[in-house]
This record gives sequence, C-alpha cells and structure tokens, in this order.
Amino acid sequence: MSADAELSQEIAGLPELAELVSALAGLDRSGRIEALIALAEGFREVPARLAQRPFPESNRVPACESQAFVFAEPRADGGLDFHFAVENPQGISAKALAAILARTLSGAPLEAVKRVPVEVVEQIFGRELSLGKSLGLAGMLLAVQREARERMKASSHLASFASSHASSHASSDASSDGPSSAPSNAPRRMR
Amino acid sequence: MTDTSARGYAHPEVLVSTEWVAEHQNDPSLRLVESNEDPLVYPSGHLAGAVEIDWARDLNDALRRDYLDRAGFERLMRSHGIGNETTVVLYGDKNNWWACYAFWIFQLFGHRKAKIMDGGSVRWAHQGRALDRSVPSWPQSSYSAPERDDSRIRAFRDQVLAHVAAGRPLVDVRSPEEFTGERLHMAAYPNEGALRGGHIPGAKSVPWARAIVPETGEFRSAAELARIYFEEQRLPRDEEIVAYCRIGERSSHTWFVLTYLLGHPKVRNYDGSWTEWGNLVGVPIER
Repeated sequence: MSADAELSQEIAGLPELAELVSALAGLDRSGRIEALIALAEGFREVPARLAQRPFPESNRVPACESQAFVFAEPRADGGLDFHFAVENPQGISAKALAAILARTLSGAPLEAVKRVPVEVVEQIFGRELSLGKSLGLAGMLLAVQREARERMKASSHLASFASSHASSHASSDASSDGPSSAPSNAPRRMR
Repeated sequence: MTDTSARGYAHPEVLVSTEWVAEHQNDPSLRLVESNEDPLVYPSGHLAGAVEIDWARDLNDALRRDYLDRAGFERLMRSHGIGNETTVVLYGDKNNWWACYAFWIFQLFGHRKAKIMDGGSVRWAHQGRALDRSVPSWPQSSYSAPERDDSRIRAFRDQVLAHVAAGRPLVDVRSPEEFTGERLHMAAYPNEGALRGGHIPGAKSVPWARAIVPETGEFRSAAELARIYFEEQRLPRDEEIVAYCRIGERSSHTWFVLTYLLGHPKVRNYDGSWTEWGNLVGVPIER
C-alpha cells in the first residue's frame, strides 16, 4: 500500500479532514497555494472569552516559529473544540493549518484525533516545506493531540472513579436515593 | 531606527530601508526579490513588482545537495529579467533569513549589485505599506554568470574538520537548545534531521536573532553588533570564522552581519551545517 493510501486509511475516521486532504492532493502547486491562502484567510483567532494576550506559555506550540498557541474547549458530548492563535503576522501556513485543524478536528472522536499521522502536514502543504516549517506545523498537530490524549485520560479517570464510587454505594446502601457525591463532568482547565 | 547609513556599518551600501525601497520601487534598474521560508507568503501579498525566488525550488539542485550551477543561475536571472547591471534588493520573511541565504548564493556567482531590505517584509507590512498579489512578468534578460565560486565564502565538511583541528573560531547561530543538544527530538517527529545533538567543538553560541532589534526587525547598529560578536563572544576581528546552523540559512544571516555590517574580512558559511555534521560518522561533537 502506498504511503498516501495508508494515510487516507488512517484519517478515514475524520471524513472532513480526509476530504480536504484528498481535494488538496488533486490540485497543482498554484491551486494548492491559493486554496491554502483562502483557508488562512478564514482563520479565526481563539475567542477572547477563552484566552487573551499574553497567551499562556502552557498553550504555546513547541518548535513553532510562527508563535502558535492551541486551546481546547470541552464540549458537552465529551469531545473538544480546538482554537488557535498565531502571533506571527506572516505565519500564513500556520494560520491555514490552524483553520484546517479547528474545522476538521473540533468535535471529532478523540481517538481519531489522536491517531492522525504527522505526515498529514506534508499531504496538506506539499513537499516543499523546510524542515523548520514542517516541525512547527507538525507541532501544532501534536499539541492538538496532546489535548485529546489528556481529555481522554481525564474522562477515563472520571469514569473509573464514578464506577468504583457507584459500586461502593451500591454495596453499602443499595436503597439510598440521596444526591450523588461523584464529581460532575466539569469543564477542565482551559489549556 | 531606520537610517541605515548612520549605524556605522562597514558596508552600508548593502542595506536599504523600507523607506528607500518605497522611493525606488519603480526604478527600472532595480529588481525586488522576495525569498521566504513560508511558500504561502509571497502569493498572499508582496511588494509590487517583486519576483519570488524560492530557496528550495530555485536555488537548490534537486538531485544532489548543492546549489544551482552557472547555467541554472543564468536561467533564473534571465527569467526574472535581471541583468548583470540590475541592482537586486532582497527581502523576505523570518527577518530576512532566506533573503540573506539568497544574497549569499548571489555572491557565489559574484552578483555584487545586491542589497537587503532591512526589517524584511514584516517591517514593510507593519508600516502599512501596500502589498500586491499580481505576479509580474519582466522581459527576459541576457544575464551572463561566471562559474560558481565556492572558494571564498563557503565552507565544506573537510575544511571545517581542518578548521576545528586548528582550533579556529566557529559561530553556531542556532537556538541555545539546539546548541546544547537538549532539543534533538520532538515526540514522534525527528528534529534537526540529525542523529546527534550538540555543536561543533569550539563553536560559540550566538543565535542569529541577537543581531536584530526585536521591536522593529531591523539590524542592530555596528557598535551593538561588535559588542555581541567581538567583545562578549570574543570572536576574532580578522581570523577566519565559520558560521553554521542547520542547513545554512540562518548562518547566511550571521555571515551577512559579520561580513557587511561589521566588515569582517573572512567569514565562511558552512551550509552542510548540523544536518551534515550531526550525522557524520567519526567526527567530534560537544554538548
């Protein structure tokens, strides 16, 4: 199986991303550039209700020279919405990728988000990127995946806590109808 | 700080301000050339009349790790209507990393009529100056280039090995984390494209960005630069210096600073840089 076909299979669980990658693959260099610039122009910075300048260092994307920041906002369905800031006014590629990741990964199954291979960056931007640029852009995806992993970990701890708490309640007082003391699924710290 | 002629540079003629460019933008003897790291920057808006020279597509040989040859350089210059007497003004993103890289390659072919626009395209945009999306088409020129001369300002692996063995000075312009070898890998993605992290023995660490005023993106004055390179880092003013980074682009920036702004007579750019040295079998490194 070719590397491109493998990649398509790996992102098949993210139909919007898969569709976009496939559409970009069908364009020549200038068509791809125009499409990416249009995506960059659609970039919307993280809403002020979630984060304001100076953005926390904990949200900074490592190795990204466009000074990108990633923020994950918990959704009621257990997923995450992803938001970005790009401080370098010439970080056009970073803005394009931010727009793509925000659009295609927000609300997506976290397991699928976690599994997106970094090679998708090359698929999106083509093979002409410098190593530094590739690393910075890959860093944006990796930062999103870190958020997804942490959210999954937190959810799994919560589930196991709730399950053990429920079984201990059941064994000690099966008839209790009082308020549960299990923690609610409160929004986690904005990262 | 925009008056480049009042900053005490050894060769002030190679640096022009955005104001100067705005005044001379329509001069037919001048060609604006944008060179960026981000391939989306030029198509999303550039100085009117500027052509793009891409570091990967236009300046590098596609099949061997080397630069274009004489015929390739002639083709490139001719296609952009650059004649032997045309003054080329280079600028770009990343505080002119790639513009300085292109400038350095132009010097391998002896194109002396070349300048850098101080502050690059960010400064131009910050000043609210106009950007254009149309790609100009200049009449073909009849540019004639000499053979590429790698002997003066370029350093190759064996020369660097001899340089190190002789205890001569080097300047590593990468980030402090790259210099110490602390940053070699990001999770799941190889950083540096090198098997070893660290630096070439004896190199001084002077990240390229120290030459820039962060607020404006312009080069620091000659006095400030001399303090950094010659006083603080004790790099010699006349002994040969080798500058390197990861692939030679950031070190072109420092080569430009040392050679033209400080007037150092012998600086070579080691374009093999860490992607070569950090992968070589049997060469020493330091951390």
